This record gives sequence, structure tokens and C-alpha cells, in this order.
Amino acid sequence: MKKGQTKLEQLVYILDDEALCKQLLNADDNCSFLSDGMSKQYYLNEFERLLNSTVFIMKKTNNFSYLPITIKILTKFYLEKMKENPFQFYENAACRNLLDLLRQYPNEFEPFQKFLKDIHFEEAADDVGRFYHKQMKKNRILNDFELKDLLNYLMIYKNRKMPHHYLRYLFYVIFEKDQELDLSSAMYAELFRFLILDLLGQLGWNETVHIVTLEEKKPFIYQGPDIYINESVIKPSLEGNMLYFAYLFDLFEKRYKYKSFAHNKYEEIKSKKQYMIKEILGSSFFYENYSYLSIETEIVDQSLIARLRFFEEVAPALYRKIIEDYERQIIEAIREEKPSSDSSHLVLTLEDLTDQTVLLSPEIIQNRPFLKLEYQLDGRKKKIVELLQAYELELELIFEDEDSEEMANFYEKAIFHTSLTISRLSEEFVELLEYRPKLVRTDRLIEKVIQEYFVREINRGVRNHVITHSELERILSKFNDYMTKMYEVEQKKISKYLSKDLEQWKFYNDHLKMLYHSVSYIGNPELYESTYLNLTQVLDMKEAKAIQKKVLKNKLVNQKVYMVVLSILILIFSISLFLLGRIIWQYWSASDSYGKIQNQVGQKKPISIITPDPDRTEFPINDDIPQVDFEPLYKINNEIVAWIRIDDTEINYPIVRAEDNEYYLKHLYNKKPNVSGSIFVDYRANQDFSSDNTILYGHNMRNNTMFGSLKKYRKESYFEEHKYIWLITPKATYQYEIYAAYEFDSSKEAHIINFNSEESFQKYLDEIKKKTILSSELEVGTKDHLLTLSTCTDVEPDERFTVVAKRVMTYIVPEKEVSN
Amino acid sequence: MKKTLKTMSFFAIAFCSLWLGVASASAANFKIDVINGQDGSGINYGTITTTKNSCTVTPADSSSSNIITIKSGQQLYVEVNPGCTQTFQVTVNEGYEIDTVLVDRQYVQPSADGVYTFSNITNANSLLSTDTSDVAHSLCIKYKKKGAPSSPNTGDVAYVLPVAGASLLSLGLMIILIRKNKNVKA
Repeated sequence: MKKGQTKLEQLVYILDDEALCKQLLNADDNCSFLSDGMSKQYYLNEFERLLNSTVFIMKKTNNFSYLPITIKILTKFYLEKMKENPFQFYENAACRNLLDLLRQYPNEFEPFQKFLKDIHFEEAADDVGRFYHKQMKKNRILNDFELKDLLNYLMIYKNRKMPHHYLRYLFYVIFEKDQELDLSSAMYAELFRFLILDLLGQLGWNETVHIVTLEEKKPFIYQGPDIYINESVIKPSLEGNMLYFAYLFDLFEKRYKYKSFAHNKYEEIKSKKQYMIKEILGSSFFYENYSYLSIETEIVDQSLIARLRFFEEVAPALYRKIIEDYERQIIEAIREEKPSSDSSHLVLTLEDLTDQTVLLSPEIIQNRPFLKLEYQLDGRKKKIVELLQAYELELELIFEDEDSEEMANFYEKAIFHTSLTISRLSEEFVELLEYRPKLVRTDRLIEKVIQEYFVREINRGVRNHVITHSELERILSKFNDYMTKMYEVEQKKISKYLSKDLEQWKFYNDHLKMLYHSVSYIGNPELYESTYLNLTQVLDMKEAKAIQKKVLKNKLVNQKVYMVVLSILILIFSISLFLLGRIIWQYWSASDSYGKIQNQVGQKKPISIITPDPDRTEFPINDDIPQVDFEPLYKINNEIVAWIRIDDTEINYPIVRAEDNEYYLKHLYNKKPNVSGSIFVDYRANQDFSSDNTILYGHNMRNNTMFGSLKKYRKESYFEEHKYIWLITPKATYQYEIYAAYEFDSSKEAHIINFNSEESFQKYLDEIKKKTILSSELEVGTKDHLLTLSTCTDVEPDERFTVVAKRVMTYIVPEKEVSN
Repeated sequence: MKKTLKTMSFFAIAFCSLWLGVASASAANFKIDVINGQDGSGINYGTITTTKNSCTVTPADSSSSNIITIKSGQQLYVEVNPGCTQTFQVTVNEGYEIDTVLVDRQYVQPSADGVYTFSNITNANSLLSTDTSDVAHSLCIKYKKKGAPSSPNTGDVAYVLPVAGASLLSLGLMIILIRKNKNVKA
């Protein structure tokens, strides 16, 4: 090491010294071998930056003296990382540059080849490619990570065989789905460049276009003509971009206009000191007419510029060496090609402006009077061919006799500068459409046109060879005819479609304008004119507005009807909800009320059996005879006359008696209004239950409360298990045994409470016997007291279901207990 | 002084048990309180007739007719001598039928032929008599429209299913309508 060298200069020298380099890589944290004690991390960072520089210098100067140490650095820093994910390699600018060098000078980079082989990059890339190919075949939506991975893959393959459908898929994701990917700006720039070339290919572009990609976090600040002014984030669609290109073609139709625009934009960018522009020359179908295609893209890595300037400041010797060597090479090359140039006047063609020349040119040109930048179109062919070799492959071209040999040679390599040839147009277009699943009508229309005409024509013999002007015009003519025909035939349908929504109409209109532009720039003015006329006729704005007005009017009417109907439905819903709530509340309220009273009335009193059933030999013990304390019940309602209970059933209620048979239909035993009502005795029956036939009424509730459970007596088994009814009064407890159940029409028959004669009573009993559905052996005579439980059925309003029981036992409460 | 007729049930029934009249008393005679039901609408549901006989004291009217007619909505005291027998015939008009019959305030089974006879009237009924009137018997006829149910409607009047159905239906329709409208807007 020499005294007075800066740290960076020292490091540069270290690069020349493998031993020192090793020392550096194995250095302790203090880096004590250097003059001052910077951290290892610092040097490692610097080391990485220097790696970039060395690669850059090698690329610039074709001087490979730095190569061995570069490979070592790469191996040290990246090999492990690369093994994990080979694609990370491509996120490093130095690595990408190395790869470029590798392609240019394969023999010089044998160690690097080994490096690449070690990381199995190719295999990994193939695997990735196969994987995504499968995913896309399945139409599976990729996640962010996969998309990024896919883009990496595409970048790796960009100089080999271009998988366009992958690209299209990415475009679709980014533009159509508005999905933001966490991609580096370089990736976005690359992607965008692909997009431009791809779209130009689709449009069969043959004119000047000026496209600039800006490096931004939001990469596509790309809205109409004001691409640099409006920095708001927009999300353009694929159609939007195509339209934009069409617009640009209009805008830059005149060359001067274009030049002026390009110059202004260039100056504007330059003044921002943020971007440098590398110009890549493209091709033009009308090359011979000096109409040219210029695509400005590929933002130069800003950190590289900064690094170079940093060199200028901190390592001026190295910087001067780089510059001088580079300039010397350039000048030599130019002089060799153009002997007329001299030191005071050098004609520098665009071909001569390689990436780095442009990068350095502002400074160089300013400080070197012999350099005069003069744009000439001569010599661009070579550049174009190079570019095509880089971007396009497998062109198999057949030309007709009308093409001159010279032109044929040119076309052979350059006619369509992008990855697409016209022969592939339809195929690619359809493929593009396939990645846009929600096709609107317009897309389907285009697809149909493309499929029916382009594919057919192309398949007929044009496939795999470049279409000449005449062929192209023929196809376009058919295309135009077909479109016109289609529009005429479908005009009504289209109008109907358009009438749905003005937005749809606009979209449709824009889309067709795009098509119109596409057709117009192919090069047939007449066709252009007729297409335009046809389209404008179809897409008459006035007509569309009239339709729209009508639609809006209909919409308003429909909206009013909608609101009215909706209001009515809301009203019905609210009322029914309220009623439902009320019913549920009433159900609950009744159950709660009866539940409470059932828990309150239990009471035991001494009781004596008065009329034992002669057929019975066993009697319940005193405790089993249900009794009720009526005192609290009287306090609630003095119309409570008894209590009814059927063991193991829901029936366990107080019995009330009113002056009619109506009141307790809608009132609980405590006289509170409720749909459940009460169990009540027919007002015509004797109060002491001494009538021949005492009738009790109760609602047939759906929740089986009140007499809702009576319907269970339709089953014999239920009847067998629940035969006995307890009727409890303050003076006595009566036991009844059920013996009959039947339905009858209350509009034709009636219950009889007190019979005029034994005969009529017997007749009544006989009738019951006939109608009953139960098979009871119980003997019933005219001396017996009947208890009839009556409720409605769910079938007919006048139909009643009746359970009839005979009093079999009476348990008398002693008089003194009653009085107590 | 008569008490007003009380409307009960859904149709055409005079509330016999409360409708007791007061008439001038005569120590030697007994009265039969006859009430023919009506609900105040003026509809003539049926007629009760009785034939004057030697025992019949009142009503003494100037007509030569031997028949006493009690129309729907009317109350009449038929005064008889002790030991008499008095027969009443109930004729129901077309479209109606007898709902209930109260004899001496007791509900009895309606007779098949509509004839009700009080025999050997000798004592005043303490339950029917008032301070000023010795009423021995009472007869009250209540009618109903033919075919009307004889027992109260004890169906579940909480119409759960229709109400729940209406609420679900309206909700469903609302959802369909809103979604359709949303689609139209989209």
C-alpha cells in the first residue's frame, strides 16, 4: 500500500492482490490490517460496490484483469444465496452485467461458467418455467411472490426464447387486475419495455413512436400526453395503453412534432437530474424513407451513475483511466469506420452510442470539442439487426418476387422489430384475450374477427413467413370488410348493448377507435378512411346519447317503482316481525303466568272418599289426591271455580267461568288479555259441576299448552297412559275416566249440558259411542256425570275435537276444611 | 221497569238470566216470566205463543183472540191462577234455530217440538220472585243463526305460521329486489 492513497484507492489495489483480498475477506471486525479501523461490514459493503464497478469496467474496457477477483467475490458473497434462489442473481446489476459479458465473451469467462453451473441456475429456471406454464394452463391466479418469481424467470429468458404468454399474463395481472407487485424498478422497466414491444407488434407498428419509461416506485406514471407532468398514480389498462399508443401516433405523426416533443421531454428529464436515458434504436417498416422508430427506455441504474461520479471524486485516477481508455476505444472505432472524421470533427452515429457512451456523453461531449454528436440514420441497420437478434429469434421469412433482394435481406432480420410478426398477430391476439377471462362484447367481437379471418388467412399459407405489403393489405381489406359487415349486421344488437350503460358505450367506442388507429397505421389510407367512416357511423355519439337519455329515463322510472315496492316490502316485513314478536311474547307470557300459578296452589288437606267406583278395588292414598288452595286464586280472580289436571300432561290449569263463552277465549285466568286464553267451563253448566255433562273449553295451542295436547288422544297408547282427569273444586276433588274422543261439526251438532230426560241422555251417550275413536270398556249410564273437554281442530273452523270422561270418584273435603 | 236487553255472543241472544221484569203483584195469582230473545237489531228470530184458558188471568186484552203472542225482543208476564197449567209454543223463523233454553233460570235441553209446559202452578219461585212480584216460573229462549257453531272457537288465534311466512316471504323478496337492483346498477 502506498501512503496518501484513499481507502477506496487502497481497496482498488486490494482487488489486484488476491492475498490481500483474502485477508480482507477473513479480516477481523476491526480490520486491523488497514490503516484505520473501519468495521468489516463497511469494507464488505464497499467491496460489493467495487464488485459492481469492476464488472462495469470490464464490460466497458474489455479488460478482464479484474475477473478472477470478481469471481471470487461473487462466489464468496453470492454462491450460497444463489443456491437458495438462483433468480436473486438477476436482481444484482453487477451480476446482470456479468451475464452480458459472459454472452459476449464466453471463452474469457470459463470460471464464471463454472459458477453458473454450480448454482444450477439453468435447471432451476427450467423448473420454474415448467411450473408456471402449468399454472397458467390451469388458469390459476398467481400470488405476488409467484408473479415476482415469474418475472425473474422472464428476465432470465429474455435473451433466449421469449415466452410471450407469460408476459401477457403479467401484463394482465398488472394492468387489468391493478395488482401491485413488489418489483424492482429495473424489473418494471424491463416489463414495460416488453409491453411496448409487444403492443407495437400487435398493432403492426411501422411508424415513429416515442416511449419513455420512468423509474419510480409507482412505475407507470403514464397517462396520455402528459406523462411527465401528472405524477398522480394511475392504473392504466391494457386497452388504455393501446389507445395511448394510438394517440401517440396521432400526436407524433409529423416528424417535427415528434422531435420537438422528444427534445423537450429529454431536456425536462435531464433538468431534473434524476434520470439518464439510454437510447435503443429500433426498426421501421419505412426505414428507407428515414422515418424511424425510436424507443427510449431502460432507465440507467441511478446508483451506477452515482458510483461513477463518486469515483470521479474519490478515485480520480481510476476515473480518468476508465474515461480515457473508453474514449480512446470509441474514437478508434469511429475513425476506423469513418475515416473522414478527424480530431476536430467527429461524426458520431447513434450506432456508436452504446449504453455507457450515452451515460458519459453529457460530460464527454461538453469537454471534448472534437466530438460532435450528429444523429444520422446511416449504419442503423446493423444496430437494428443486433437488437433483433437480442429480442427476436426464429424468423423464417419468405418473400415475394416484388421485394428486392436488398429489402428482403433487410426484412429478413429486421422487418418486424418486436417479438411479433404479422403472421403471428392473430394467434398472439387470441392468446392475449385468453388471459382476460371477463371479456366484454367488444373483445368477443374482435376475437371472432381475428379468429375467422386472420387465422384462416394466415393458416392458409401466410403462417411462418412475413407478410408483404400486398398480403397485408389484402388481409386488412378483408378484415375491414368483415368488420363493416359485422357492425351492420349487429348494429341493432350493439345499440341494445350500448343502451345499457354510457360507460360501456364509451369503452366500446374507445376500443373501436383503437382498432381504427391500428388499421389506419398499417398503411392503406383508403382503408383507413372507409374503416373510420364505418366506425363513426356505428358509433354515432348523438345516437348513443339519445339511447342513453332514454335508458336514463327508464332507469329513473324503474328506480321509483323499485323504491315503492321496496317500501311496501319493508312495511310488510316490519309489521309481520312485530306481530311475530307479539305472538312469541304472548306465548311466553301465558306459559310464564300459568307456570307461576301452578307452583303456588299446592295444598294438602284431609280428604274422604265419598263415591268409590264399585269396580275399583284400589284407591289412591290421600297424598296422591291432588288438591288446590283456592284462597290465593280467589284473590287473583273470583271467577276461578276449579282446577283441572291430567297427570303427566301439559294440562294443569285453573278453570274459570264467565257469564258467556267468549271472554276467557282471549283472557288469562288473571283477566289479562292473551291469545292463549283460559280453560273455562260452559256458562250454562251448573256451578257445582252437577250438570249431566259439564263442558270445558280451551284453545288448541300449537305449543301444546291449554288444550293443545288433547289431540294426542287420537292415539290409543296415549289414551291408555293418560286416562284420568282430576277436577278439583274447593269442596271436592273429582276423578274422571276418559272413555271417548271424537270430532264433530259444531255447526250441526251441539253439546248438551242438562238433559230433559233419560232417553235423550241415553241417546246422547249412544251417539258418543258411535263416534268415539277410543276403545274403552268403561260403562257409562244416564246416572253418570260427564266431563267434556272441547277444543278446535286445525282443519275446519267449526270442527271440534272432544274428549269425554265419566266421573268415577269423588273425594270430598270435609266441611270445616272448606270453610277454613 | 224493564232492564235493557244485553247482547251476548255473536248473534241474537237475549241474556235471560239478568232480564227480569217487575210487574204489579196480585196475592192470589202467580206469574210466568216469558222472555223471547233478541239482540236489539230488530230481527224477528221466532215467536212464543200461549193459549188463553180458564186459568189465565193476564194479559187481559180487548182482542177476541185466544192466543197470546210474544215476539222477539219482548218480555211478558203471563199471570195464572194457582193450580193452573200453561203451555208455551216456540216457533223459530226460517234461518234460525234455538240456541239455549232457560227454564226457571236453569239451562235445559231444548225440546224437540218447541213446546214448554208449566203444570200445576202453585208456588212462587223464590229465586225468580222479587219484592213486588210472585213469579212462579220463567221461560227464556235464545236463538242463533242456523249453522252457527254451537261452541266457542277455540282454535289457536296466534297465527304464527302465516305471520312467520309473511315475514320470511317479504324478507326474501326484499333481498332479491335489492340484489337485482344492485346488479342493474353495476
